Amino acid sequence: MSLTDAAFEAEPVHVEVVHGKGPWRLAWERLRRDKAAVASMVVIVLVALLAILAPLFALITGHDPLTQYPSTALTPEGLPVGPGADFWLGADSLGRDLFVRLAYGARISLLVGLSATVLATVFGVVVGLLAGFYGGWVDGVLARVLDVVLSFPYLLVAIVLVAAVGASVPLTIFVIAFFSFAAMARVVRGQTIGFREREFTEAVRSLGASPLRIMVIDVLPNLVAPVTVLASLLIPTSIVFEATLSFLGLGVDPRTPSWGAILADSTDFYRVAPGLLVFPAVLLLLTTLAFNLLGDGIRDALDPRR
Amino acid sequence: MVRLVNYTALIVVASSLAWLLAAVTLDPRANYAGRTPAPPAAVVDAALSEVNLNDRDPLLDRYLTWASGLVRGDFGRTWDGLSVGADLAERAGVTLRLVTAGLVAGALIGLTVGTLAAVHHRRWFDRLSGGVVFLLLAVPAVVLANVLILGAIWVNDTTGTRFLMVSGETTTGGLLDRLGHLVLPALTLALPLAAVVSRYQRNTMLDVLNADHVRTARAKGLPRRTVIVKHALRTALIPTSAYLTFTFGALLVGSTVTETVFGRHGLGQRLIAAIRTGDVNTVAAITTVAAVALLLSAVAADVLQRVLNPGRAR
Repeated sequence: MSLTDAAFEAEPVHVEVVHGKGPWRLAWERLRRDKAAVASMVVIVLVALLAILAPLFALITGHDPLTQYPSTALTPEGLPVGPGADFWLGADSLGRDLFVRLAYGARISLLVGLSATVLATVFGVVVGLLAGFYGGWVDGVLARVLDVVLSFPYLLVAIVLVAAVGASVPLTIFVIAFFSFAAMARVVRGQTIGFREREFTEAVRSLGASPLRIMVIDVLPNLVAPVTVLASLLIPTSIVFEATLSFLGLGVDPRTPSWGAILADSTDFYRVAPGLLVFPAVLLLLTTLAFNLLGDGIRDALDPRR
Repeated sequence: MVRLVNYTALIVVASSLAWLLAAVTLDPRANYAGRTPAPPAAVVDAALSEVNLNDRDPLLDRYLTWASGLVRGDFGRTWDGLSVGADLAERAGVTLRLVTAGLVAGALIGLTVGTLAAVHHRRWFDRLSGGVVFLLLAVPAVVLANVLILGAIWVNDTTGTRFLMVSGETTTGGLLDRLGHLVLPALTLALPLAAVVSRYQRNTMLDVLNADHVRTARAKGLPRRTVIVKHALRTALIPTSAYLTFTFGALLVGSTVTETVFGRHGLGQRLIAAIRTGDVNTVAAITTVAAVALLLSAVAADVLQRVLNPGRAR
């Protein structure tokens, strides 16, 4: 048996095919190792469950969020009862079930927080892309508009607008989105200006790609990381904004159970029933803290330098 | 100079938009609706036209009347004929006291904590303050104010004193009494500010502590304390003080919630009351004042940054 035969009959070498992990997979794995981010996700899922299952809780307790139960919820002296088997977290000053109201309030908070963020993100990305990509007079006009929005005392204007048009959930969402999109547009605009001059956009432009194609196919994917981070931080801001408006009595319809309105209801009764203040405050704090921590976690996970 | 023109244009646009928004949406006529006997429509019209609040007058005419008044420094009148300017001047004092107290307290706490955290980098104080800062950044002002109220009631009950007050500006008029009313609302503004400032200060201080001139000072044999205070802290204060100046305008706007919770009759509380009574001129005036304050503090921060920049001192 000659040497060449041996080489010929040698076992075919198994090449281990190395699959590169995509950037999203890497980011997800980094995020899963971040204990604070995982804890935040758990809290967010719990709050979401509270919101989704709100009608179920109403069914179990037999308490509607809007109905007053003066005979069972108020003591003979007219004070609200504390936490117990009937009213899990106690009753409010009008004899309504605090837990059921908080669960329905979670719906409002999440609805407003998420939809305002989506709206602000879409609007901000479009305006930022156009301003950054075209430059010139388009950028001039849009940048001035952003300046006006950012220099507006937005809380004051939001208060005026909501009070004047009448409080409702869609209006609250719109107002929050309108005053949040400018920050998003600023960031997107800055990034787009950077990408406009880069070699890969030059290359596709020389191949005859249309401006729309360059913006959507070539530039937009590069913006996903900063936009995701900013959007995840917009959610808690929007939730707090809604709670603040409702606390001032200018948010969603005052009868709708919202965390801000529940907090406002408690202000005259916290001496006799501290739970009225403590439970909504803790819930609001936990939710915003969780979204903030998750946003920070996402930022770290998406950062390629880590 | 170009910037100044830009800023002036911004203020004109912002205040005009605020007035238009208020004029189109608010309803000062509602103030007369509940009266018995109902005043004749002509009387109401005349009374509203008198103070430039009649929604049946052409919008453009009303706008021009308002704008020409504003240019002469006249903010117009409220629905019951009072001068908006005089009313706001009084209210502005209340808000200014609160915001100043909050800003000073926030700056002092933030600078101290931030500097200490940088000096004790990665030791227990740094970690602890980092955690507290994160918590404070997530607390909504509404929650923080109410938590402080609960805390104050507990302090008053346990010590048996009544120093910390949760509502109004003063009951007896004494200086100590005013202070007792000021502590909680000022803390509500100061704590979140202190959280941001301490983070800011910690990061600049960390940069500065590793800078060449600080290492040289240490190498000369100067004591650690002298180097930290005289060489490092002085340099690190520049960006932080610019940030603080910039914050002033934002605090003015942010004090609305605090004033409402603590029942202080400042600008923010006046705004909400003005919306309820349909006082277009008051709403526009407060928005204008806030916009001017925001831009002025932005300009001041710019100037401060340039003046204090050690690179320009040569």
